[in-house]
Amino acid sequence: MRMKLLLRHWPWLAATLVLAIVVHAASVYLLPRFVMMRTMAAIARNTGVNAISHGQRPSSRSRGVVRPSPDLLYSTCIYDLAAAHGAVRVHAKDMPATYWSVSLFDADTNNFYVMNDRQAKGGAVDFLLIAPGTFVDGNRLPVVIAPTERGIVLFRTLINDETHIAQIDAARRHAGCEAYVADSR
Amino acid sequence: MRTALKVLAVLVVGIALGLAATWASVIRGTMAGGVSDGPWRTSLYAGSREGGPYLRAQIAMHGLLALNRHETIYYTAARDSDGNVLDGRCLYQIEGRDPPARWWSITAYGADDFLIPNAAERYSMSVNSVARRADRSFVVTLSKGQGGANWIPVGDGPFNVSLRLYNPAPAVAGDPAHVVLPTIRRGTCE
Repeated sequence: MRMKLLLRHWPWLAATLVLAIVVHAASVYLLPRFVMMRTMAAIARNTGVNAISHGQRPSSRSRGVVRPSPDLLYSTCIYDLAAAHGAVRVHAKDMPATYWSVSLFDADTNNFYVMNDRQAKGGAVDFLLIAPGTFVDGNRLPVVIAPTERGIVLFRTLINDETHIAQIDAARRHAGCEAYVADSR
Repeated sequence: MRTALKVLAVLVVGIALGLAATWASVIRGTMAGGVSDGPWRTSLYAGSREGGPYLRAQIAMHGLLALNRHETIYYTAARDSDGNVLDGRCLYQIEGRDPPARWWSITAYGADDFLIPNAAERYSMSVNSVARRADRSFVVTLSKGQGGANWIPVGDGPFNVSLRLYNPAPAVAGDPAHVVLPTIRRGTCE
């Protein structure tokens, strides 16, 4: 009886199964892009794009990005290469004497670049973020190729001494991110 | 009319099944391609293009903006060393020695992946803040009530713990399942 029912309705059952597989694959594939778009839109609402924002120390009231570390200070910048006409300059100097890093994330959530305080020459970073195939006239800065037109630049600064939070917070504000213009160096 | 109803049923059931499978594999599922080390789980491909679609989706939901393994390795525990789900109604002790990294921290998160509200505003212990015994080992207490110098308050419900290793020793990425990491032991429960 059950077999007869299955045989009679198999095209519909097969269509249901195929649709379920397509919806599943599409949702898994698109989820990271959706989460990044939502996160970037929320950050950009406050600071716009190609501008850095220095967040407060994370607490239980921090609800923007999951699993924040309460031991780090986060500074974020949404890079938008179209809005910047091709290049965004990311830089930091005179950063605090503690662990810090600058990391770049594409619109698919991939961390495609990271540099920390020990790798930064002279305790400073200064580079251009550009789209593939872009030529920046007169540029002498190192370049990093961005896989997607928009993404996130994230500075992490470790609070290694609770008694010096104010100094660490002040020093990490030497980090910046903005649309590149040839004479901005 | 019957055909239209069948088409509608296919659409509703197909979409529901597809989304349910995504929920089960991404939201509730275990880390795709992850490895275990005692109660801790990690994936070397978190934050990396090599991670594949399932891990990428899981990281988007549970660990957005994770650094790649060259910079940081993230271990997560949702169970204690005996395999029991971490529950805020019980007291836990995380005991061990410094993991091999430039800097490490232990942080508790609620089931929603955010820091757990508490009056003391204590959320983590790290290499900088942990109080140590004479032999340099440490015990971190996770409980709802007061737990001493190395206390991280947790709420009533299930919670989980992140162990972050910043600038880990090469051996961690080489064999993340055999790093000497702290144990998580359950004490008394309400």
